[in-house]
Amino acid sequence: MNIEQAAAKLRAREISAVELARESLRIIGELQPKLNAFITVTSELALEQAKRADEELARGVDRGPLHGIPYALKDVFSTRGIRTTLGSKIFADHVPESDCAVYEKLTAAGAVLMGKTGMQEFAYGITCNNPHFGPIRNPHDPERIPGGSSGGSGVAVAAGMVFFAMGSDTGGSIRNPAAYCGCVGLKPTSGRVSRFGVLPLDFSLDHMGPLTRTARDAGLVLNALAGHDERDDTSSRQPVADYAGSGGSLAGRRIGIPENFFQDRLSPEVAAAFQAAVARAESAGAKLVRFRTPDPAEINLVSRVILMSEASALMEPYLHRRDDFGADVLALFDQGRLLSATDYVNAQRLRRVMQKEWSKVWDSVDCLFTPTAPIVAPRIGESHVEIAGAPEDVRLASTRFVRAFNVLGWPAISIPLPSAGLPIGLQIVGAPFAETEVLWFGGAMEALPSL
Amino acid sequence: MTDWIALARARGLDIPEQAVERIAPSLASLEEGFRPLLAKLEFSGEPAITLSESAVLAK
Repeated sequence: MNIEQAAAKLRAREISAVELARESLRIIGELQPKLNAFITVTSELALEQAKRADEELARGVDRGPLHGIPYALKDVFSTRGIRTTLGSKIFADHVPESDCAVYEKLTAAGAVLMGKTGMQEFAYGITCNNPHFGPIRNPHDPERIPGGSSGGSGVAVAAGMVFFAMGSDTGGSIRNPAAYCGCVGLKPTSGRVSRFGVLPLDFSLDHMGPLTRTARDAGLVLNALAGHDERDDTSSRQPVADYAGSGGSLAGRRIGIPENFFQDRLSPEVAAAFQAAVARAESAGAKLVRFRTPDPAEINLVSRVILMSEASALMEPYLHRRDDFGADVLALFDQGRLLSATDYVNAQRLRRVMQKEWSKVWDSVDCLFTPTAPIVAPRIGESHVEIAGAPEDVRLASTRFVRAFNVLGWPAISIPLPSAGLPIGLQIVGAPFAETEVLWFGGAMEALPSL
Repeated sequence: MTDWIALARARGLDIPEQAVERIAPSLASLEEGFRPLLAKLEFSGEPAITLSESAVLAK
């Protein structure tokens, strides 16, 4: 059941919000010991919010499609009175005094918070092998990582614990767990969703977005979240749209297929699934535009300099507590401290150059298709994977195709592709503020036979 | 080529030498890839950071 179906059942009185919340709690209770998706489960609050949702619906107060729908927040979203840990020991006892904008908006939309999901420590990495809260496990194979850093959110959605979960994405942290867990993950355009009250990793690259079961569900959640927030300096004043439109044909739509970089060093199963998706889109009438992008390897380097510099600047007051950090994130924070201010400023200057170079892409295509990741979910504890006969760092491999779009600020979604084995994601990228297009293409691909 | 251990020491960073040794290859590889990109910059090219309106108006 997806959000749309649950919302219809709620309005038909076939089910109540309290029943939905109880079922969600039952599944969480059953799977949490195996998958470790949550850091905090807010059972009492969930039942309270669900009861209120039912009472309102009975009185004719309808807050929209999310009214009464169980969901979860990654543990970076500040929630008043509910601890918000960033998956870290440093913030293990941090209880915010106010709510973030995302929680305010979802509460106003009548959604029911089931808890705060587990994550990579400080949202800095993709394994979710968290040294303080334990490893989060992939529902398709518990010996494998769920991806990250929003791994708990990906697991909670893919395992049916909640209908949607919020994540944050600095270098792929929504799209990567969506790909590895087999759900949808949307990173909206920079500035589209307010970051107010979210504990940051990186001021320049952080984006907030939903993980869901369908592209249309992601649009329904974005409808509740999009809009200007004067409390967030990066929040956009671009007009919002209806993001949950669906239907229509791919015939004549121009899909850009980058022939460089995004086709390199793919595992055989990812290559086969991606080619099959492209062929299916073409047979549905889409016009494939094969072309070469500016070099994404260059933009990935810029991304690393910006991320490491900003993240280390942010954590500087805590870095003397070396024993309170996991070894992997501490190594990244240490690297950031050794970069120079000149490198950081030049990376931000290069970002502007690259934004201009890449914007020419939109002269000839309506969206881009790439694999979300070149591999399927690696095993827990693996630091390197072998791709096409050569070893590659798990973090760098997993984020190779996604992090450019944080630097560019463009919207991008990962949707699951048919796979006989572990989940594989298709990344669909759009022009700035073209979330409607990205979601539309996602919905159109989901609707194709065998997708 | 940057001597990362000497750099950490000169900056007075509390990063143990062994930890710097472990991250040095990653930093060296980043530096090697990043430096040539600077040729793309024009002299007056500005960073993609803008001073926010609220900061200007802040009282």
